[in-house]
Amino acid sequence: MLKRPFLPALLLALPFASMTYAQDWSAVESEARGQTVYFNAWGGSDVINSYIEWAAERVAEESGVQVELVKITDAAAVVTRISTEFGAGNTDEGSVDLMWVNGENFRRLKQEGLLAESWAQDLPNSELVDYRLPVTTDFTVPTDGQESPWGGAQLTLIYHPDRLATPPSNAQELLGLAQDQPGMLAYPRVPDFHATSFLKQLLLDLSEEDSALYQPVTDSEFERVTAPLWGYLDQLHPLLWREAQAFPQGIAQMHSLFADGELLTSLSFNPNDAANLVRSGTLPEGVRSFGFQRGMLGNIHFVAIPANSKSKAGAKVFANFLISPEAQLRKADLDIWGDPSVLDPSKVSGPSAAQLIERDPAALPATTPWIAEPHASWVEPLEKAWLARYGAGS
Amino acid sequence: MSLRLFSFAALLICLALYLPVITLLAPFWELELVSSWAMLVKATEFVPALAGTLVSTLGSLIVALGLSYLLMGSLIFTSGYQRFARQLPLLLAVPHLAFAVGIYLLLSPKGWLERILAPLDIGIWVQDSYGLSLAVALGIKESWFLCWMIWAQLQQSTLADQFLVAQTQGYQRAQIIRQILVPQILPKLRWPLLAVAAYSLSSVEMAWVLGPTHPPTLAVLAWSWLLDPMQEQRELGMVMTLFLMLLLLALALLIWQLPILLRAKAPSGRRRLGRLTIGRPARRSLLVLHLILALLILLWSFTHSWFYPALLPGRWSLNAWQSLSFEPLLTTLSLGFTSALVAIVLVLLVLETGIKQTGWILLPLFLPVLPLVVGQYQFILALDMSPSWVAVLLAHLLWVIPYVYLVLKPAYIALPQEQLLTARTLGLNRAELFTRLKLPLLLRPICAAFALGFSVSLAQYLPTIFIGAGRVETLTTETLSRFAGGDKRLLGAQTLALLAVALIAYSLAQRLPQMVYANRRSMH
Repeated sequence: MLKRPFLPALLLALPFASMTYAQDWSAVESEARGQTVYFNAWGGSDVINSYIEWAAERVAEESGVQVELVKITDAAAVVTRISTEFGAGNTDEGSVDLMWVNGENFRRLKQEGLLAESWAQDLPNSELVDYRLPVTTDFTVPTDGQESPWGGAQLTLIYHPDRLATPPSNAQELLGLAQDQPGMLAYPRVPDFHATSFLKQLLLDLSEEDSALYQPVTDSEFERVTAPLWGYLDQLHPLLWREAQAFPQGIAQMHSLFADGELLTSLSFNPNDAANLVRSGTLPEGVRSFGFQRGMLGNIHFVAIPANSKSKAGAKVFANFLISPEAQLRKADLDIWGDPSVLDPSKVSGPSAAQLIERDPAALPATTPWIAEPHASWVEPLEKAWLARYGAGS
Repeated sequence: MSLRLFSFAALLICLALYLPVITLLAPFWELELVSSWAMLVKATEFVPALAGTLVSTLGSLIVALGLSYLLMGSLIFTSGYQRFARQLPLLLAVPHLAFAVGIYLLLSPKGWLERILAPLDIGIWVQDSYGLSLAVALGIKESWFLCWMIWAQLQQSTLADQFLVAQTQGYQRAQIIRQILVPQILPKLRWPLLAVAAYSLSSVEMAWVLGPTHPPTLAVLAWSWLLDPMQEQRELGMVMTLFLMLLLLALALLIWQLPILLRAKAPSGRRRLGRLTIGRPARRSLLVLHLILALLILLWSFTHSWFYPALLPGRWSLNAWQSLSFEPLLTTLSLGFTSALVAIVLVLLVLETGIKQTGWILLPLFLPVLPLVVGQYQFILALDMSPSWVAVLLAHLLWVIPYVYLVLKPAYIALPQEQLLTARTLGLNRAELFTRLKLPLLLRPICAAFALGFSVSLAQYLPTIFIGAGRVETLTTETLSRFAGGDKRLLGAQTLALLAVALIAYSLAQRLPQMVYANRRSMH
């Protein structure tokens, strides 16, 4: 009896879908007011931390959502935490409300059903997103609205023209450089995120972007496609920094070794990083960035809401703010962070559109082709095989 | 008798806090041990990581023991002896992590030492693949603790007199150390040595900063496996923590055999001339080392850019200091203050129960940290407690209580029984006796316990980060995340803050009795 009057109301509402959409959003906003959102994000960079603090202040003013940044060192550990919480029966009072994620960690969260259902496309600002970027798949896994894009990234090599006249344009030339100047190249130790990305870059370059890399991995394909990589690394490792008996602990240490002249190149996943690092005094003046001729690995990083968050509305409001033109513009500012925007410049009005795609001379040239991430299932066997081969040192 | 009630309540609280010690092995019942063991041994990192761990742990024990014996042995009865004894607590108060960061800044590739030695082209590096630099750094840091323990022994026993007698008979220091000090003190150093071994074996923070990277030590490996998203990898981490305990057990057996292994032949009467001159120069150079480390940390914190081969920063900046936030400082202070205070109250009340068997309170000092933290985490999960300041406080207490007990127990036993008896005959009841006589008499040890408890809480990394889910940030967790961040300027500022808080808290606690009892010298 009670249900009956609703049916015509629903039918009436259908043509005005966008109106209900707005109403839905205002419901989210009012629910969000006063909520505390624990945002778990990699906290290793001060630049990023202060950007997030700024965003937290803005969203507190604007929407009354309290965002607490939880600085983590490894997103995989957060996945573990969420999974452990679910295992212990904690399905609605999780310790994480929003997390910075992509790739393998997203795949795992999604697969284990630990993420809030489809929500990202309902954010009002999602209309401004540049859908020419791969924002609806994450390492070929469909996002299904379970994570909202935050920024773009492209693997970038950093060098100094005074010390390296012509940077290598492919993996073979990199090996040649190592042969000419042994001990002057390095990459972090697997399973560091940048190390794995560097391996994927080499793999894509050596296999000429084998199509199998974009399918779920199988044993036989893995054997076939990665064989050239192992042959290559067997040659490269003895020529690396400290003969690959030690690896830098992360790109931060690599930057420092590079700045002190211990290494010829450094590595980053932010095409603007070199420009930022010169401004902050971490790297010397005059450094430049380069990529391989074929292109460099590129991906999108996202934010996702765990299914057991108790502040989902607040998390959505914050995620929405993160893709507002104001937040994206500030994020792209080289003096602030320099992380590439995910917004479509044509949908953003005013002079800010140009700033969204600005590149510094020290940054990776915007013309560097973008190579999509291989299927996420390749990461784990790649790391395992690396550890089995090289994990013991010698 | 409300005091009785309170003291038994305190005992129960302590027992509750110690539950993770008892259920240490519980998580392992769920594992299929045989297959997990096989997987652990098969892991490619296992054997080299074990080698690095053994080198750094055994090496640190050897360095610490050797250094402390040489220092104490060659300083005793010299003018520097009392001065050194007074400096010891301050050296002890230097947090392990701050010391490690200093060493890192000095010895990292293209670090300061390499810059000074640039013309010689000598490479001395931290993070060497054998774990040697970690062993030496741990050894130096732990030697202060052992020196302190030896000093305490020398105060109590007649060893000092025996030393004097041997000296007047014409024996040289080296021989006296070998024949008198080692055989008599070593048996009493077993427990302190075991604590050193437990720390060296399971330290994640020092191993991360100074240890081998490829692969890292077992503790670091276990830690990263425990955080792995893959269930089977986490199980491997659990097995590894079990393995760490077995390793510690083996080390304990070795340490218990040490006095027998190192037994000296009965003196033949021959006076050997080998002179030992390490005393003053060694003491000085170790102190200078600490000053250099502090200076490097200070310099980096005010740097804008500083590249090889410059010996001083090229450009200066206050940015690092401006980027420090206050919250970790406040959390550190509140956690340290509260945990030390709670621990002191609990320990005093437990001692007040009159129960003699309280040695179990020391247990956490002789167990690897990692499995204990895992145990605590299981409890927090079972209690459905969210990661918070309170949860971290409870976690810290497991290490603060035993250290506080270590200081208070001997002092409590040494209370002048005649005075207490007199007071009772004069009509004071138990509660009055406790508040009006025992507490004032114990002020100095209470202050010492407070200082120690505070610095123990300050130094906790694993419990803070694991139980606090990263939400509870202290100076220690911030310093380590700055280290991971790789920016030496921020690392410098953060480490200096850590060091300053540790030293200031320590000297304040030292001064307090003098301020309270300004007119009673023997109470200082």
